Amino acid sequence: MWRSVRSTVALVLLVLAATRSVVAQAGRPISDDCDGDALAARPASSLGVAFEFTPNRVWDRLLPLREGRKFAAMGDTARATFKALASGMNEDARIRMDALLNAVQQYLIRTDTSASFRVESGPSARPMEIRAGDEGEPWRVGVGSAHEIALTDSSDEPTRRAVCWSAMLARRIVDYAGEAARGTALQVLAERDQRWANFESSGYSLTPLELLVNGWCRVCRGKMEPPRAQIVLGHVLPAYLVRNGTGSRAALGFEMLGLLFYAPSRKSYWGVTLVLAYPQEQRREMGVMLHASRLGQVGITAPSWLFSGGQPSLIVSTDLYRFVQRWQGRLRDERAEVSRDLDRLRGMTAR
Amino acid sequence: MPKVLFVVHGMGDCLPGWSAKLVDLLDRTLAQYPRFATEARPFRDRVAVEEITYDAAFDKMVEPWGRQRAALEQFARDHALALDDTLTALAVGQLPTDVRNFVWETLLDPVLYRGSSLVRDNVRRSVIGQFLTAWERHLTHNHGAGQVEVSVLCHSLGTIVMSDVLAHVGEGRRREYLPFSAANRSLKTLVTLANVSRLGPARLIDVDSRATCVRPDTAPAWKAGKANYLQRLINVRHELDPFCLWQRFAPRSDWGTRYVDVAGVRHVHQADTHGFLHYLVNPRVHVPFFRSLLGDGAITRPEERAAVDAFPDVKPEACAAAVEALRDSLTALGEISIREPRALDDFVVYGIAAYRAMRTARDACHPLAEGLNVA
Repeated sequence: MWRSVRSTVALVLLVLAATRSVVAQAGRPISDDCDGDALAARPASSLGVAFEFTPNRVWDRLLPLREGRKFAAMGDTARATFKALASGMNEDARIRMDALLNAVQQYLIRTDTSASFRVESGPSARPMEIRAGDEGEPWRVGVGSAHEIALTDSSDEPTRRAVCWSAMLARRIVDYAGEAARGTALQVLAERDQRWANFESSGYSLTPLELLVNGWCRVCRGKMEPPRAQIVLGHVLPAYLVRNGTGSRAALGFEMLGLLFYAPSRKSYWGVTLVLAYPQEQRREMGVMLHASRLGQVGITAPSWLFSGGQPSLIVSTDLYRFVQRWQGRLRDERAEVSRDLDRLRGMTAR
Repeated sequence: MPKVLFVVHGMGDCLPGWSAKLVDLLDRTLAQYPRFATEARPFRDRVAVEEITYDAAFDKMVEPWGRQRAALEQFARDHALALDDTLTALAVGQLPTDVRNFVWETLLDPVLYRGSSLVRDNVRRSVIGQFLTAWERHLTHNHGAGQVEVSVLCHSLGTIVMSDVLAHVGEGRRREYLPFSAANRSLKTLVTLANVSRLGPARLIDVDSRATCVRPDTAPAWKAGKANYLQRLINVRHELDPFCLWQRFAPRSDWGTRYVDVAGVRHVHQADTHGFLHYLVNPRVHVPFFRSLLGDGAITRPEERAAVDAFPDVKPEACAAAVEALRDSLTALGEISIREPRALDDFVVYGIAAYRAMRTARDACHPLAEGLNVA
C-alpha cells in the first residue's frame, strides 16, 4: 500500500516536472536561443551544464587556435560542439545542420591551405546566417542552400540550441577567418582613395566640358580609378608672354587640345597642349605648351604656326611666372644686400 | 553592438554630421511606441548608426569652377584683356558665378553623377570605402555572440548611389569586393526612400537597379546560381514627391514577401514632400523600418494601426486647400505619357501649374517645415 502511494507520488512529481519543463520551453521564444544578444543576457544558472556550450564560452576556449590561426581546427571544434548539443534533437535538422557545418568546414580548410583564397575571398558566412522570421514565421538557418533549417517557438530545446548555438559559433569563426581577405580589400580601397586624393589635390583642373569629355574617355583610366591620361580641351588660363626687351605682357592662354599623363600615384603629371595666346592689344599667337605638374606651364608661341614671321614669345602660366618673379625678386634683394655689404666694407677700408 | 545602420543622404549640401537630426528624429519616433517609451535606451543605443557622406566628391569638382571664373575675370580686368565671344563662352561661360546656390548645390549633383563617369566613380569609390571600412570595424570588434546585421537607409540621390554601390560590391565586380560580396554575406535590410535609381536618360544609366543582386532572397536569383544580396528591401514612394513621378523603381517580376512596397504615403506636413525626415515621420514608413531592425515584435500590429490612424495626412487644416491643389497638379503631371506627341506641351503647362501650386502650398504650410528639412 505504502509502496503504491510512494510510486504514485513519484509518478505525479515526474509528470509535473516534465509538464513544467514543456510549459517553460513552450513559453520561451525562439529568440532566447537564436538571438545572440538575448542568449548572452541569459544567466548561466538558467542554462545549467549547457552553459559551457554557449558560443561565447566555446569561443573563449578557442583562444590558442585563434592565436595560431588554425581555422580548420576551429571548425572541428564547432562540429564537436554541435555533436555534443545534438543529443535528442530532431533528426532531419541534425542531418541538415551537419551538411551546413561540413560546407563551412570546406571553406575553412581552403582558408588554411590556399593563400590566394585566404587573402582574396575568404570563407562565406552565408550558410551560418540566422534569419529572424516575422510574426508567425519560422527562423531560418542556411537560407538559399539545399539544407535550409526552419525553427519555430515550438521547436524542441535540443534542436534550437544545437542549430543556433553552433551556427553562432561557426559564424564567428568564419568572420575571424575572413579578416585577412577583408584587410587586403580595405588596403586596396585605401590605396585607391589616396590616388583620388592626389588627383584632386595635385591634378590639372577640369572645366565642366573637360569633366564630360574625360568621363567618356575609357582608355584614359582604369575602372574606378582617377585618370592616368587627361584630355585638355578648350581650357582658358591666365598667362604671360615673355619677350626680348620690353614686349612682355599679360595674355589669356587658350589650350585648344592636349594630353596630360599622370604618375601612378597621381601626384605629378606632364603633358603637351596646343595653345592660342591672346595678348593685350595685339594679335593672337599660336604655339605649344608643356605642362609639368603644379610647377606650371611653359611654352612657345608666335604670330603664325610656322614661326616664320614675327618674334616668338615664351608663354608662361601665371603660377610659374609669379614663381619666377618671386625668385628673381629674391635674387635681386640678395644682390642688393651683397652690394650694400661690399660698399660698407669699401668704406671701412677707405677710412 | 551587432546591429548596424548605414544612413545615406540625398541631393544637396550634406556636411559630416548631417545625420544628427535624423538620429534625433529616430530616437523621438521610437519613443512614441509603448515598449520603448518606458525604456531608457533610445534608438541610437540599440543600433550603431554609421553616416555616409559623399557630397565632398561633388564639391571638390564644382568648387574650383567658381574660383577659376573669378580669377579669370579679375585677370582680364587687371590687364585690360578683351575677350571675344567664343573665348568668353569657353573661358567663363561654362563656369558658374555662384557655386553655392540651389542649382549648383543641389540639382547639379545628380546631373554630374549621371553625366560624368569620372564623378560617378569618384562618388562610388568614396562610398564603398566608407561603407566597407565601417562594416569591417563592426565585424572585427564584435565581441558578442550575435552576428553583425547590416542595414542601409538611403534617400533620393542616395538611393541611386547605394543601388549602384551595393550592386558593385554584392556582385563582386572587382576582386577587392569579394569578401563583402553576396557570395559571402548578406544585408539585413535596405530601405529606399524616394527611390530614384531609375531616373535619368536610359543611355546614361550604367546599372539597372532592377537587374542586380540588390534584391531580397525571396526574389528570383539575379543570375542563375548566384545569391541575392538582401534579406529585405523596403521601398517607399511619397505619392506627391515630384522626383518620383516618373521612371519609378518597380521590380519587373514578383520579388516575394521580403520586398515591401509601402503604399499610401501621401502626408503633407511641409511643402517639401521630398524631405528625408518628412518621409520618416509617417508611421507607414517608420514602423516597417523599426521592425526590420529591432525585430518584428518591436511594434505590435494594434500599435501600428493606432499610430497610422492618429497620423493626419495634412496638418493643420489651414493649408489643406493649397495641398489639395498641389496634389491635383502633381497627379496631372505624373499622368503625362512621354511617348505622346503633345507630351512636351503638356509637361510645360502642367509643370508651371505644379510649380505655382507648390509655391502656394509652401507659403500656406510654411510653419510646418520646422525640423524636417534634411535634404
